[in-house]
Amino acid sequence: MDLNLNKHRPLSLLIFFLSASSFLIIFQGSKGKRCNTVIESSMTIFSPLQKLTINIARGTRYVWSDYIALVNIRQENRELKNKIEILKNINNQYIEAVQANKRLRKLLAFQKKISELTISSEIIGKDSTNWCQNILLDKGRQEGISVNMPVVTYNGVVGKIHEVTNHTAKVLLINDINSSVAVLIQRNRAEGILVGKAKNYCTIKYLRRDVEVKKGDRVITSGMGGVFPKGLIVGTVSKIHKNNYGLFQYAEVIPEANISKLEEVFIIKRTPAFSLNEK
Amino acid sequence: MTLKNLLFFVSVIFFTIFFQSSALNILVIAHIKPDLVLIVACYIGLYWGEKTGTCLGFLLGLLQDIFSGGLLGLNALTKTLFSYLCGKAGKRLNIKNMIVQVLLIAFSSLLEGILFLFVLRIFHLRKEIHETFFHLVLPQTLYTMILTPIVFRIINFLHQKWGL
Repeated sequence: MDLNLNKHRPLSLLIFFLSASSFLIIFQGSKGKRCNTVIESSMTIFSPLQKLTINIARGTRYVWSDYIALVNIRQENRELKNKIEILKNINNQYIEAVQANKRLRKLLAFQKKISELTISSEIIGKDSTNWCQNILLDKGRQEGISVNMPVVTYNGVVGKIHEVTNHTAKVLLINDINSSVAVLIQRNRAEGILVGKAKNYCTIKYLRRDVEVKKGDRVITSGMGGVFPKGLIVGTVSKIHKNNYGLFQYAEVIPEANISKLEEVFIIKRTPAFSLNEK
Repeated sequence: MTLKNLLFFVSVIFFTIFFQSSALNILVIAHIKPDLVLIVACYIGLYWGEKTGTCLGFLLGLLQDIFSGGLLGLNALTKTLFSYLCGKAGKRLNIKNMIVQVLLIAFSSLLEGILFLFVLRIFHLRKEIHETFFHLVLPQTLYTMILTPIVFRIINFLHQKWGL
């Protein structure tokens, strides 16, 4: 087999490929869509290998954590037993047990509801560049996944599906610079838009200036964007920026879900009437 | 180009993309990972000439775009360009010198970052130019520079073992 590149001049090859790239950029820039056929076929080729690597890496980590790292287990076990005794005493004195019980009941109901509507999925890859915050999941169209479905963990919101192939799906994480989620401050119901910063925190924009926001306030989805159901935990306020001018204040939010160390997520198969009636 | 060459190229492309999108995530420091695809694209340009570099650079970039959530074609454009430029530079420089290799990659990575910022600004996809440059482009360039000598040696070794 002889593929002869010599008959082409380097400069004409360069012009051809640069034009092709520019065409792709301009085409999507104007249409706002990526070319699905090329993407689908490439992902079909690479995803089994990605799945295999992730499983090997996890297997190695489990072997390490379950066997090798258990050398000091006896000492640790003794310490843990002592801790349990202390915690038992604290627990007995806990006077707000009734309130906690109510909260837990609510959570249980939420989890039951969630489990009926969710599909669990493993992460098989991450974005190949530093410019976007995406993850690749091992479930796709064949498993009933479609674009704009919310992705969560038990801790909180992770992102939303933004590209689907037959057996994989790409998730735009909430810390991506192009992500925006309609949110509420749980304590005072102040509304805002959570945007990504490509770091380990996000920012809430358009928070009314006259609303008091405190460090430690819990942030939940407001359901206003039409993508995320109302009441999902997003994160906790870590910093507030309030200038002497302007209509709004800004808050930095640390996502509840540990986005940089995700292994498994849940995709919520949203129904239009979905609401947690969170109060 | 012989079939043996072609097989080698396909393997290099396949493993580069696979490492960039999966295995390289263990090397992430402060949300930054090195751009292995750029190193390989420049290597191809330097050692195998600008024609091969242009074609494979485009392919590598396109595949990187597919496994990213960004604009499709952006990496294809930059990788094609820098692979070609490295091919041109390779004829005039001592490409076996490690400092030359590292400096070429650093220059390419920095220019690529600036080009990215420019295009993303046009499409209103990124506004914080100053912040992005200092928190993404510069650290990525540094990290990619560190990885360059290792990757160059690995490909050189594989190239010799393959008998090309």
